[in-house]
Amino acid sequence: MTSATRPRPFTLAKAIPRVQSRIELTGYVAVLGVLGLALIAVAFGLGRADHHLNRAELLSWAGLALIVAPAALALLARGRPRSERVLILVIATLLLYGVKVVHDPTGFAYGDEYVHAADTRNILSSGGLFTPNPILPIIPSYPGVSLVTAAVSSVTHLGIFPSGLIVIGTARLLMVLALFLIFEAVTGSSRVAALGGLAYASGPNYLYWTAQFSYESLSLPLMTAIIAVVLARDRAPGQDRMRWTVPAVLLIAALVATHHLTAYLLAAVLWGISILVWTRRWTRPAPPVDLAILTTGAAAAWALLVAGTTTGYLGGIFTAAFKSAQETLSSGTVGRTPFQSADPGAVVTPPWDRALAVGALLLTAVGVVGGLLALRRRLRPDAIVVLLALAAPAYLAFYLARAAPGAWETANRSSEFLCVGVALVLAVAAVAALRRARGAVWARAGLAAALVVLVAGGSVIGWPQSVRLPRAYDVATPDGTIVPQGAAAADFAAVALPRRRGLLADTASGRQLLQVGFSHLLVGRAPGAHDMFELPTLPTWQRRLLARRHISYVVFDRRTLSGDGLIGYFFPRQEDPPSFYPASTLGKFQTLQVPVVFSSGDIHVYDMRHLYRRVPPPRR
Amino acid sequence: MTRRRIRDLPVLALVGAAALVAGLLLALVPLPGAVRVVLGLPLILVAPGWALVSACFSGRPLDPVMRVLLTFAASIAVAIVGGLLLSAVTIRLGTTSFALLAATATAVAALVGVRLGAESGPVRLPAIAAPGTVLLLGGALVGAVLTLVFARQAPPTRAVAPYTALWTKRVSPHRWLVGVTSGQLHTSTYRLDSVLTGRRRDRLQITLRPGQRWVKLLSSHGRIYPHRVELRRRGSGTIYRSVDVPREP
Repeated sequence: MTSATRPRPFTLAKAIPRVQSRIELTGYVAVLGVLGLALIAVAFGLGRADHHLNRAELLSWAGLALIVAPAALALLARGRPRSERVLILVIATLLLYGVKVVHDPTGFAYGDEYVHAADTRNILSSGGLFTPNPILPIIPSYPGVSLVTAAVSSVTHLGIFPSGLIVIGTARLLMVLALFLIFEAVTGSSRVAALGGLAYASGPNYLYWTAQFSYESLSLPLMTAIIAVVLARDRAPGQDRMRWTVPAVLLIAALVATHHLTAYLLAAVLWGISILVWTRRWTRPAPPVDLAILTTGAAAAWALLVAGTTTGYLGGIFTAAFKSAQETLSSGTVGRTPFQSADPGAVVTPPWDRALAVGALLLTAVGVVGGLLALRRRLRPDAIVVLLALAAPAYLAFYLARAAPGAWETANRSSEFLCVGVALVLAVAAVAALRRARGAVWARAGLAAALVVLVAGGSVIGWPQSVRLPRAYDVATPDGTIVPQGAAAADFAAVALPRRRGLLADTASGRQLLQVGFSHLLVGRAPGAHDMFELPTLPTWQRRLLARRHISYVVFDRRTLSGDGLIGYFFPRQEDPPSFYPASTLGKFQTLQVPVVFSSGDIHVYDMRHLYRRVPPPRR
Repeated sequence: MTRRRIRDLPVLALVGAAALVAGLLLALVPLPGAVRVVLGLPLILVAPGWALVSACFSGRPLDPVMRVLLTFAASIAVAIVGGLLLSAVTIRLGTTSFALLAATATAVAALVGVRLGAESGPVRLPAIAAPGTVLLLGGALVGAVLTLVFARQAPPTRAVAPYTALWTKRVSPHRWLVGVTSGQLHTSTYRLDSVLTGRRRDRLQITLRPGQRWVKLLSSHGRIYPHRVELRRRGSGTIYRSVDVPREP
């Protein structure tokens, strides 16, 4: 047989391009991504069943890799059409949102979600806005996300939960399209833009926190959409600028009514662009002074006229963060140690989680340095690029702030804003590295693997394993399905307790009571509430407080897990350290001889009404 | 009017008219759930933004990605700003107001666009993907739905701490409710005793499946306080749960 007639050996490497020529990349990315999502769903099922948790976690990482890696490989390819890049980016974004959906597929699960759901329910039931919220009073003052969800729910008659999923899913779509347009506008490359959109998923809060039903999950996409419009307005001919101003104004109005901090940040960004351009070092975009003034004025007017509690709310958060950072710096000790829970009995972080987190941090640092150098060489005279480039090192600096206990939350929450800059810089670094490697296959594979580590490691940095793997809420038995004690207590309250009565409850129970329509609540760490669970006696001052707040019932869950706003609603796991409030607290109620009207073993509901008749009058 | 305008104008006008019809139907007619979803989701999340963008950028080329972005973003913004305005003029927020708000916003934007001589832009359907891609995307969609259905299944039992909840509520001076909810892993039988001023008054045998609730209204014409309700598991003499019937409703 001559060499011309000898059949060539069949190899996969040769087969794939032939198939690709007939079937576009998009289909492969979608199928592999859905397979990844299915693996994640299986892993989460194991988590709910409290079964093989370590294997479940590895399975979830494999699933995440199947979503991210094919999309990254497709986006790294040169010469693909822009529309295909956008479609792949949208598919990957929706699949990554699917991770949160399969994490909590039957109902809201995070503390803030309960509060926003209650706000939406209040809009639907009262037909009006600004119904006070006893747990987070700031929420009704920024009703944007609740309004849209109420609109979807009331018009379609879907429940608040599916309506919320649709609204936040739409917001995720907005976010990634806006990021794509911003990155494309400043780099001129659809490849960098699409990669940047995918790299944004490396933020610690991306997979879960910013996918929850919360005002910030909508405000950030609105803000990026406004910036995309500002850039498009800048490129439009003079007579067309007004056309772009109309949607910009509409979006700013919606943003101001949706989230305080994002509106202030947008004002800062718009003023930042204007100031940078006024310094004449950067020539683009044209200073958006009109929109900066509008945003500043509207946000200030809203805070003054509608949301009067904003200053106090934000002031409290930032003061605590500043004090904590100051204490950490002055004491010279690390307040929070990475991978160490404050709870001594908590589960130790597995080694692969540590490796992913450290790997993600190192890759981010290397990517930021490389990306900034590449940007410096090709820097366009664009103020937006400068702001985004400044955000990238700031993002790394904020990691240090996580060491301070009180500053952790501020540092963690700032990451979703600063990560926009990191995403651009990482994408620029990736394309520069690929160019240097002349598009070699190994370089593409390495970059895709790096992106998987960034996304998975980011999620490890943002969330402990005990929260990433979901817990059981509905548990199937051969004869029926059971729910946790907290849900049974909320069911009892819904049937047996008048809604107008005041209730004092722990964090988890309080949110579940909010779900069933109770609005007079003293919850969690609110003054007076926590003391009820910690103090062995009921001092007179506390009785007066209860009487003043018209607290008729106390819902007491003796498990300290109930104070956790993320996992307190679920069945505890075997690995959870058994931790209870002091036995003297339970004894306090027995001593007081207040009637127990509900008992499920760990949760008791006490009828405190007759107690007030014995409250001595305050001293004059 | 050019031939192109004649061809394109009806799209914007049709969307405005369709939104009005959909809004009226959703506001006034008790439609089945699936129909409400099919009509309602585009009416709230797509139509107002699309009409507004078409009116704003009449006759100007608009990047398709930007058009999609603005369509969703502006629709959401219309719901928020419109909801605030409705609330400010004390119109009740609900099915009627939200449906008519979205429909009116779409119709007004479409009308403005038509009056300005706006074209909706050349309506170009996206290029039809290769059959293989369509097949793969369809398979992915089915797979995603199946994944969600699977994820919604309650997991099997494994080392969950079982419980039983017992509660009472006085509904009138001489009547009270007693409720039991089983959080046990198997069907369980209980004995429920109503103990009035230290003496057993009622004894009930209850068998509950996991997750099952049992509620009974009890009454008495005599003295009713102090009054306890005790729950024992079958075969056990010790009290498993006990609660007090409160003195007042």
